[in-house]
This record gives sequence, C-alpha cells and structure tokens, in this order.
Amino acid sequence: MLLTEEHVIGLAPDDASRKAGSALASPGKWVSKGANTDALWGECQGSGSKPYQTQVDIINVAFKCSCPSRKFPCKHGIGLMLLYARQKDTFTDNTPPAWVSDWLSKRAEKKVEKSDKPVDENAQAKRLQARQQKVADGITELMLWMKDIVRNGLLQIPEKGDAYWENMARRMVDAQASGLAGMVRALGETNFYSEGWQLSFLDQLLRIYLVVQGYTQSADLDEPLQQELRSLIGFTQNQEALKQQTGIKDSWLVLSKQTTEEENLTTERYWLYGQHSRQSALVLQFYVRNQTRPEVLITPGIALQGELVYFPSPIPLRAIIKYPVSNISLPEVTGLEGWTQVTATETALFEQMPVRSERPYIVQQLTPVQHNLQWWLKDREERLMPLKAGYPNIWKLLALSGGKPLNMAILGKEQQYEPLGAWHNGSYKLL
Amino acid sequence: MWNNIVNTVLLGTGKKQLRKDDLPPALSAIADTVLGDKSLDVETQFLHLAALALNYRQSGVTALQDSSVTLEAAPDELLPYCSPAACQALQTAIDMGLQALILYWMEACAAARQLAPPEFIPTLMDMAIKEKQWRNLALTVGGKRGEWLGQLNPAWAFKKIETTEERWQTGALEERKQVLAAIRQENPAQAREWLHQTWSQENAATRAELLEVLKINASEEDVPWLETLLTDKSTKVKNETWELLKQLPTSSITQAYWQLLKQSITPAKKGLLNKKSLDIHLQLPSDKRIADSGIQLISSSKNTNDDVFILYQLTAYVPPAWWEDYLQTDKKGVLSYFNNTELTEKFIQALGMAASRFRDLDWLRLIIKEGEDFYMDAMKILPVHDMEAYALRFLEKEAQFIIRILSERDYEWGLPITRELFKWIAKNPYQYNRNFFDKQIQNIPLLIAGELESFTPELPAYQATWKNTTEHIKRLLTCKAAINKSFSNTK
Repeated sequence: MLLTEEHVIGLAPDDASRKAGSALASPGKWVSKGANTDALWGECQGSGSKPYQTQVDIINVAFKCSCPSRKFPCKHGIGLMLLYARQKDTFTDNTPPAWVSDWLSKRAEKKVEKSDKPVDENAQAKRLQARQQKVADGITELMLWMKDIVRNGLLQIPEKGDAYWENMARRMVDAQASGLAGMVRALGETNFYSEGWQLSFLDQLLRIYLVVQGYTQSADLDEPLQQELRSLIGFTQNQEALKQQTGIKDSWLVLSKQTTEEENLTTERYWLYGQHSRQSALVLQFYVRNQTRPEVLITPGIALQGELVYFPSPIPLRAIIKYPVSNISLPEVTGLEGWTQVTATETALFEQMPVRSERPYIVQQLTPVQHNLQWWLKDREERLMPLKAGYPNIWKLLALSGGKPLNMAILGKEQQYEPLGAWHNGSYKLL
Repeated sequence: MWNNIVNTVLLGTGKKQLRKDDLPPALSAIADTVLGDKSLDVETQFLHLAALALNYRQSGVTALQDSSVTLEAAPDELLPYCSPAACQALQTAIDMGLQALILYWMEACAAARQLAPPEFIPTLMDMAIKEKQWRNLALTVGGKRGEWLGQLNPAWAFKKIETTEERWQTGALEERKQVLAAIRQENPAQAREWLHQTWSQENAATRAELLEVLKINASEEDVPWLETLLTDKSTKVKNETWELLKQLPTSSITQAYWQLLKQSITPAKKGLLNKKSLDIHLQLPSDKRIADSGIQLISSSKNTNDDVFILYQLTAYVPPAWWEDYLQTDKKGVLSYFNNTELTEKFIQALGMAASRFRDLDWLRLIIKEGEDFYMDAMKILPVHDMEAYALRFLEKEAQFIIRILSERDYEWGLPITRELFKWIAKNPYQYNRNFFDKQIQNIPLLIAGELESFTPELPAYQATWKNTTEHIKRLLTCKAAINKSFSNTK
C-alpha cells in the first residue's frame, strides 16, 4: 500500500478525526498490530474493557473497526494507517489473527454469494408501467406549475415561502420522480438575496424543462441519452447489473474528494481521471450517519489501478469501481493544453447533453491572475477563465504557483472553475 | 440575448412575450418555427426558446483573451526549502493544533536558514495575523514567496522589519520591550540612549514599562539620567525610577541609605566573651528622600519596632559587600556580626535580598548555603545550574512559584528538575493541564519521555489523569524530536 502520511491525513472525514487520529499514531496506543500483503490490523485500547479491533483490507481497499464511531474512517483507522505510514518496521506480526482472517474471508464470500435470483419479468414490467404513469402525471402537474411561474413573472418569486417549493418537491416524490424533486428543491434554494439570482433561477428552471421535455420525447432518442434522462428523472440504475458489465481498465487518478452532509446523509464525491483513457469519472459513496458507513477507502492524491464501469450516458461521468483495485502512486498525465481545448470539449458535451453537471479536467500551465477584482486562471495562450466565486483555496494555490504556471486539475463547467489540485515540483498537491 | 430572456421572464409572459429579435440571428429560424406554432401556448413557446438559448449560451463559452492581465512572479528564493521530514513535522504540529510547536518549528527552520514549503505559507501567515510576535518569523520562513503573497493579500502585508532599530521605532510596545531588552543585554549604553531619544514622545504608561527594561544590566552610567527622571509628573515613572536607582550603588539614594545605616548600626563587642555584635539606633531626622523612595516608616508587625523595620528595609537596598569594608571583616564575619543578636539575626534575610538585587553571586551563594530562607529574586539571577539546584531544594515549599519562574525562562530544563517538577505536577493534576505542557514544550527535555510513567501518583484518583497527560506529553515530545531531527544537520 502506498499511503503516505499526507494521504492518510487526506482520508480523515474532519479536523477532529485528523487530530484524534494523529494522537493514536503512536505504538504505545496499540495492544497489538500487524500487516501482511493482504491487510493491516491493530488492537487499540480505548475506553472500553476490550480493545477496539481495526483492520484495513489492502487489496480491496476496505476498512472496518469495532469501535462505535460512525465516522469513516474512524480515528483508530487514521491512527493505524498513520502509524503504518510512519513506522512500517514496527508491524512485525504478519500472521493475521482470527478476527482479521474471518473478515477477509467473509468479504470474499459475499462476492460469491451474490447469485442471480429469478426475476418475475411480467411483474417487473407492470411495476415499471405503473411508475411511468405516475411520473407522467407528476410531470403534467410540474409543467403547469412552471408555466404559472413563467406567466406571472419572477418578481414575486423571492416572497414565496418554503412550502411553495416543498409542496411541489413532495409531489414529485409521490410521483416517484425523485430526480425532479431534487431539481425543484434546488430551484427553491436559489439565493434570492444575491445579485443576479434571476439568472441562476432561470437556468435551473430551464434545466428542469429540458429534462422533462427530453424524457417525454425520449422514444426518439438514443439509448444512452434515454438512460441519462431516466436517471435525471429519478429512475435508479441497478448497480449490481452495472458491475457485471465490462468497464474501462486504467490507472485512475483520484483528483479530489468532496464531502457534503444533508439530513444525516453523507455524500462523498470522488473525482477521478484515467491516465490512458483520458476520461474523467465521478464515484459517489453514500452513508447515513449513525446507521451505515462505507467500507471502501478511496484516497485522494493517489491513483487506483483497476476497472471503472460508467453509468449509461451519452457523456459518461458517474461510475462505479469494480473491485479489486490497488493503490498506486500517481502516474504522469498530460491533460489539455489550455482553455480553447476545455471550451471545445465543453461545447461537444453540451451538444450531446444540455443538462449536465460539472466535470474535472487536467489543464497544463495555468497561472492564477487577478483581473477586475476577481481571480482568473490564465493559460499559456493568455486566455482567461474566472475562478468560481468564493473559491476557498486561492491562497494555497497562489502560494504554490508563485505567479508561475502549474498543471492543474480543475472542476467546473461553462464559466465557473475551481482547482482541485496542482502539480508542484513533480508532486500532486490537493487543494 | 440572455438579458432579453431574463427581462421577459421577470415580468412574466402574461405581460411581455419573447420576440424573435430578442434572440441571436443564429436562432432566428427556430424562433420563427416555435413562435409560429399556434398549438403552443405562450409559456411553452418561451420555455422552448429559452431552453434553446440556454444551450446556445452554454455551448458558446470561450475564454477571455487578454494579454494585458499579468501577475508578476515571485522572486526566486535565496534559501533552500526544508526537508520532507521537516514538512511532515510541521504538518503534525498543525494537525495537533499546537501553537508552541509551530513556533518552535519556525524558530528551528529560521535558525537552519531554510524555508517552509509554499503550501504551508498561508497557514503560517494566517496564524501570524493573530499572533503579532510571529510575524517576523513567518516572513522569514516564508521567504520571498511569503513577501510576494503579502503584496497580494492585505491581511498578510506584514512589514518585515530588518533592523532592530526599526523594530524599536515602529514596533508595538511588547515588541519594543523585547528589542530594548535584547539591546540592553548586549550594549547597555545604547539601550539607554535609545530610550533617552524617544523619552519625550512616550506616554507615561509606556515610559514606565520601558524604564523597567533598564533593570537589565543597570549600571552607574545610568545614574545621572535616571536621577533627572525623579521629577517626572507620573507616579508610575517615579516609582520605577526609584526601583532602578535603588539597585545602583552609586545612586545618591543608595548612598543616602548607606549613610543612615552606618550612623544607625555600629559594631560593638558584648558580653564576657566580647562577642562581636551590632548596636542599632536609628539616627533621625532621616533624609526626606528615604520616605519618597518607597521606604515604609511604620512597621507592619507588632514584634518589630519602626526603627528596626526601617533599617531592615535599608539593608535590603545596599550592596552586602559594603558591610565587609565597614565591619572590616569577610563575608562570613559580616554574617556572624548579624547572627549574634536576636534583633539583627533577622537582617540576614535583608542581606539575601540585597545580594539578589545587586547581583552579588558570591554573597547570594553564601546566604543560600547558610540559610533556610527562599529568595524569589535569586531564581532570576542565579546561573541555570545553580538555579535548578536551588529550585530542587525548595520545590516542595515553593512549587508553584518555581514552576512559574522556570516556565518564563527560555531554555531546556535539566532532567533532575524536570523529574521533580513532573512528580509534583502528577500529584496536583488539576493545576497543570495539557495547556501547560503545550506551552512549555520548548522547555521540556526529550529524555524525560522514557520516565513519565514512573511519576504516576500514588493516589488512585489521579492516576488516570496522569496517564492521559503522559500520553499527551509523549506526543508533544515525539513531534519536538521530529523537528529537532529534521533540522539537526543544519543546526
């Protein structure tokens, strides 16, 4: 495993875990510890009578700890991995205890267990038809509601209460169109106090309209576009079926991890980029605080050697990882030459799918510069693109750049980009 | 184009409808089709065209071409960056949120004439916003990149003060005191001269604070100027001046004290054995300056009369060596004069205080050796080795005071005193928590790490607290060791 201290620190879910994890990265804290080619394990004496059992599956990049914490990874995991990164030599025991080998073999069994259950195709088709009808009814109502907004104008919109948005979002949930529900909520969450709110509001309104129009007329569209639209409406994709498909094998750079939390649901967004395929990917992990936690560890700042399967889309982005994968050090990538290539790529993407989320690019030789009281990124052809307003890591970026160009991983679309990381003196620095 | 669409929807299609002219020519044909389709209501027509225009806008984004927008690059660094191990040590100190260790790291980095890697500069600069005294150090380890960032970020535009004179003239009071103290150590006359030059521009409180610094290396050369300050309007300044003059043998006030002492305390031989002793008779009227200079004229103790009380105080303000000439004997002889009567025996304590005040180490060592009294000022004057030995003697009685004095000294404590301090702290866990160790990490020797468990207090209730404290101290020491090691090649 190639995890350095910096990588382990990057895995910590928050500052408190990082501090607490650092505090546990001393041999004295561990009653026992060991490592072999498959796993890393240790027993940490906590406040309870029995030590907590912490284990990391190195091959499948998974993690488990017997402590009650729901943080992922917990402080014991951070501490154990930090200790391993710092003092590998002290992990002299290479025979895994029963609790480690049991866990590893159970994980292996789980993969085999997942056999195909017989599917009642008739019942499935009926369920689908019923759902499509519900969605269609919901869409009719949504269209009326949107036309009302357009007819009456936006001037009074900021005065609408939360119920105005929430009622329509709930109606979409009832219509089993959770994707539309989310888009309606996002519309209501427009910052009506910010200058130019009308622009972002109208953009979101039109995105909903495009999705609805595309979906209702999807019979004439290509299969991947149909699938993408269905997914935007809220139809889920069977991930197990997806995993059966052949993916793209590559060295995937983990460019960044973004974590958001809403109503106890933690969403981790990992932005990846394939060294040879030159494709970007978004891998999502969800877990509910105090109920579940993911077992998979994806470390920003290193690369995964393995296979990714994309969700069907004319412009594939969201993907799932087919395990096993292995961690490797970050390979070299060339990336795009400048903004002309980025905007050309963006145009091509919008041509295929006008409603789409931001995606990462690797762009060579960008320099942060100041223009009209705003920070921009200038390429070597002296083309400028503004940084996302309120980008928080501008000073770290400037410190790394020193006014000189850097190869950067950026995330964005249209005219809003934020650097995720930058190559500085040959190493990738997370921002 | 987009403004036209937004303006339409702002008012609502009930009042204003989208026209073909509102859209760019490239969309004219499709606009004709949509607007001409009478099966579509106005709202649908608007949504159709606006959605189309949205993608037209999205797909047509180009970057701004402007060669005039430039940013002058940071100058090349003159010093090398620190090692990866040093970076890691800094990261650990930052992760642990330990300011004392971050400061320790910056000092080690600056001493090694190395630089912090660029990615750490924003963190160090942000910290220096809050901690003013860190600013020069942050700029030093930030190198040219730090200065360059300071030009871009007004919050980091700390002025790097190159010369001590500049720091003296432009710094905040605390910094000026530090500079004055440093100069006073090396060149006492220059420090006095600097203070003299700015004296009339300082306010009373600042004058008093800066004057206090002159206690360092105070000498008879200070006397003429200090005596002129006795007419200052500020009582604070006057009191501070008296304090200074009272530690200078050539000052007129010390001379006045001595004159009165000589007149009032005379050698005598008493008893059948003609034992050497001292007669005490306060000779009045005394000089008015004696009261003005802060000598209390009325005893606060029933057992000590006013005359003896005054002479006791005066004894504490004259160099003890003068008694050797006056009584024509050596130090031990002087002590035996004072020891021979119950009344004068008490004056030994005053001699001890005088030895501290006039920094007479021979006298101080003798009195410390012979007596059982604890002299607080001696802790500040004795060389490190003697001071630690003295602290060990009185630790049980004066633990808190000794810990405070040791905490204020800027050096790494010896192992014996550290052991005893930690034993005491382990038995008093609520007075010294983790914060104390965080702040003192610079003073704590690395070698103590292996002994921490042996200080576990006997009282079971305190054992868990000490165990936790031990873990914390070990983490601090591990980080400190990593810092030392990573800069050791260049130290």
